[in-house]
Amino acid sequence: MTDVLAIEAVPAAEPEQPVGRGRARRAVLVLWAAAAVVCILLLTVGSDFQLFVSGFVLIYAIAAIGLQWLMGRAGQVSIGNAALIAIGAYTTAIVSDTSWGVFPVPVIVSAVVGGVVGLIIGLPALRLRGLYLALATLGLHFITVFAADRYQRNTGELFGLQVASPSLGPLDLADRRTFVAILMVLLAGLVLLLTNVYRFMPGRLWSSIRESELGAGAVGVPTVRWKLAAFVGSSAVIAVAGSLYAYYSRVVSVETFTLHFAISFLVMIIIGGVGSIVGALTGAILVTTAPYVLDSVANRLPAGGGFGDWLDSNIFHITNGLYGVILVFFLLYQPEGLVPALGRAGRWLSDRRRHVGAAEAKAEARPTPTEARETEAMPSRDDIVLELAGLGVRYGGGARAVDDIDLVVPRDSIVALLGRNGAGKTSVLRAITGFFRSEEAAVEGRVLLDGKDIAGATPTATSRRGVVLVPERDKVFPSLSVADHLRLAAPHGHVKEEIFDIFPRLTQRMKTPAGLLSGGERQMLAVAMAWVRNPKLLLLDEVSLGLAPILTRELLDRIVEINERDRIPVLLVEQNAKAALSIAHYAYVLESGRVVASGTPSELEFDPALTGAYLGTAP
Amino acid sequence: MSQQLADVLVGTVVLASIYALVGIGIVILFRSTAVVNFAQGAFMVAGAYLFYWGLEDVGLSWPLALLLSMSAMAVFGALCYVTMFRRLVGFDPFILVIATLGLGVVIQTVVAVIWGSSVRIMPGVFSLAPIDLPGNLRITPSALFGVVAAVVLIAALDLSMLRTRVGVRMRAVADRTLLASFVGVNVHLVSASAWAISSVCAGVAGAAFALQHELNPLSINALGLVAFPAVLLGGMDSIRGALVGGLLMALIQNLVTTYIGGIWSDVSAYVVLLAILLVRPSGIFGSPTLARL
Repeated sequence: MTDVLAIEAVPAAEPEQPVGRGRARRAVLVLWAAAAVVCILLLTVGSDFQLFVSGFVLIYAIAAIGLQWLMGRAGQVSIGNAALIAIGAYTTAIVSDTSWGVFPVPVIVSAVVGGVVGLIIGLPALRLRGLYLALATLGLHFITVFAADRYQRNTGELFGLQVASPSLGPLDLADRRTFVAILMVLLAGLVLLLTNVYRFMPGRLWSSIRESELGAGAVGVPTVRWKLAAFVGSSAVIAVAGSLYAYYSRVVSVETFTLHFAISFLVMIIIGGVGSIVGALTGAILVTTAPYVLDSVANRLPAGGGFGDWLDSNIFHITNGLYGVILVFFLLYQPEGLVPALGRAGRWLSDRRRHVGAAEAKAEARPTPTEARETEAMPSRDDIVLELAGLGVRYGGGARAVDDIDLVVPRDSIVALLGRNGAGKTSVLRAITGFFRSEEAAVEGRVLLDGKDIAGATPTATSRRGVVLVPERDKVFPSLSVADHLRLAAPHGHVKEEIFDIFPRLTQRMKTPAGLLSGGERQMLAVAMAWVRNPKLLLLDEVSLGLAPILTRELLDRIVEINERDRIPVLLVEQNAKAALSIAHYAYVLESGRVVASGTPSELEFDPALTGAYLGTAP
Repeated sequence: MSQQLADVLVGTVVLASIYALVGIGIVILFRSTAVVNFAQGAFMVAGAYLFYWGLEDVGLSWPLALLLSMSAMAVFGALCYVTMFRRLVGFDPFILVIATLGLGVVIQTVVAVIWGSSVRIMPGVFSLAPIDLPGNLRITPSALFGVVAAVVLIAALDLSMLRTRVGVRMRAVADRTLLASFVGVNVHLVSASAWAISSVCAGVAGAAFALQHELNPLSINALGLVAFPAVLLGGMDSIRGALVGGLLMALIQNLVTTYIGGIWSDVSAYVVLLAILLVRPSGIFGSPTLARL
């Protein structure tokens, strides 16, 4: 795992090209211009219905941008946004009923109340993460809805609180066109404000908290203050959206603020792309207009037809559940959201036009790895259990851990793979076992097990073919007893009797949960568990790590024993070159993801690649 | 014992058995797949409607209708994993939370399209007359059915988790997913089973609740969400915690209902939730590292 971690520390993003930045700025200008044109069209020639819908789109967009601040920037989960909208809406309904509550005072009071509530939710969030925070905000949601319901009952406003139509100086805000125009200005102002905040230091601090809170704290980011700031700011923005909602719909009723309502905002920022304001805006437009679009589609379908009828009679449920379907679809097939995907598609198209020739030429220039190696004296193919040919491993964004490795494990032998921390040893082993898709690793070249290429198979598939890896860390199941381990690993659950001869230490511990074993015992158990599977190829990752020399010796003796007794070939990855060379028949030295030397232990003993670059620096 | 106290005690046990069923489903799923299923309430709704459908429309006897509901829920749960959550393995926990929220909305929509959203009364499977027990205790047969179903199902799960190889495999995947795959455990198969078991638990709980009250998608769904504070009280990753947490939460809610008013019942659960999150997020039995997820 160390190798993987080392790679992740490298920044994944490529340095931005000046060309790309100019293009991005043009794109932003085009977007603003397009938005301005759409707004002007809506205000001048838009129908009353279009204006009505766009009012909701604008209000929900403000809320979505607030939520995006918290989730997309600072990386904090919240399903409390319906509660915050409710808080803003009720505050406005109550304040606007007083003598001093003239527009925009209630909006400002709502923002302050929202900010205070944000601070209150933010406090537990200092300790809680992920789903615990989600649960806390779920609690906030239900408690708020309950309080609102009690308030309506106690005041006798069972059908909701009325909100008087606002006016601002000479402007009559009851006129929908005027109010929508004000909403447009507010939204534009908010977008401008936040893009500028994100561009400078606060944006970077929030990003660092999102990427790694521990790391951010370690390099001196005051995580507490900035996390709270994100909670307060985003909650204030969402509460303002609630206040505008109250003015726009003129009635505030508890039925509006359901969990579905809260989820619909999550849908907005997920389908647009959680990382950007444009994403939140796109999501708000799509999610808010979708029910109206669906409704008009249903109205236009010929009545009496089977599907049209069915759609018509279920339109209420379907528009309600539509965002569930959209959400699930996006998470499965487009988890990064619509806007980043569109941006990438645009870049890909323009890049393709430019470098179509160059990439092809590069691909052809690369020699096939096996050809180069054929000349060396090698054991005949039948005697080879594992052959790696031109093996490369790349993780996630493109960091390369291993490059063009050729390696052979002959039958019955112990082969050692030596190298420093971060040299790529673990990645080689993982390439042999295969990766799960979620690990986002790409394997290049060939992994031949008994002559059959298994590159790209999953760990489940390779372990069925007889490859067993004892990982460096997390090598036992803490809550399972020793006996459970052996039973789990043994084919058909039958553990061979010889286990007690080879691993006598374990016999006294059969009923003990592995979490209570000592480091040496865990290591022994891990090797025993691998042996019980009767592997075709045993991969061991840093078995000596953290063990006293005497325990290391004992463990290595066991490995030699199972190698000789059961003729199990072993590929041993080690930092401790001396220990590994004492039992290996052949060894490879890995440096920065490439093989820099190989040979028998006696050949390698004085090899400068090992003594200089590697042993010389190791204690 | 006063009648009121006796009714509180019986009500606690009846509600606790529902929480225990749902909670065990949540814990098993969380431990073996790291998914916290916010759609658990929707799964309860689905199980209850399937039970209703078997009784009313197919005309089965109640054991067969229950079996039908359980098998359908098992298949459905496994399908949820195969079609959805298998693709999301290893994603951020909050993406998983949102995915389950979306799944819940989809299930509720499908149920509403098929059966409508009106409240229905379950067919009279058991007699309505309460059974009198010593000490003023009395329990209706349908409530007794819920308690017995919970005890049987939980005992069966407990035995199989401890004594069978399938159970050992599930615990192995729960402990260390990657390592389990290295030693030949079919992680996808085990995860699909966890989904199936969790769905069956939720479905039976939903059916039992519908028998005791009515077939109301809203209230069943709300109950599924209140199960989270209950599980959290015990500890998200502890089976024992799910049982004890369910019992405590049921006691709190029954006391609140009896002495303050039924309307305060659900909100008291969420107040308890916030209190636990502030004081001891890992719950009574949960491992302390859990809250850092």
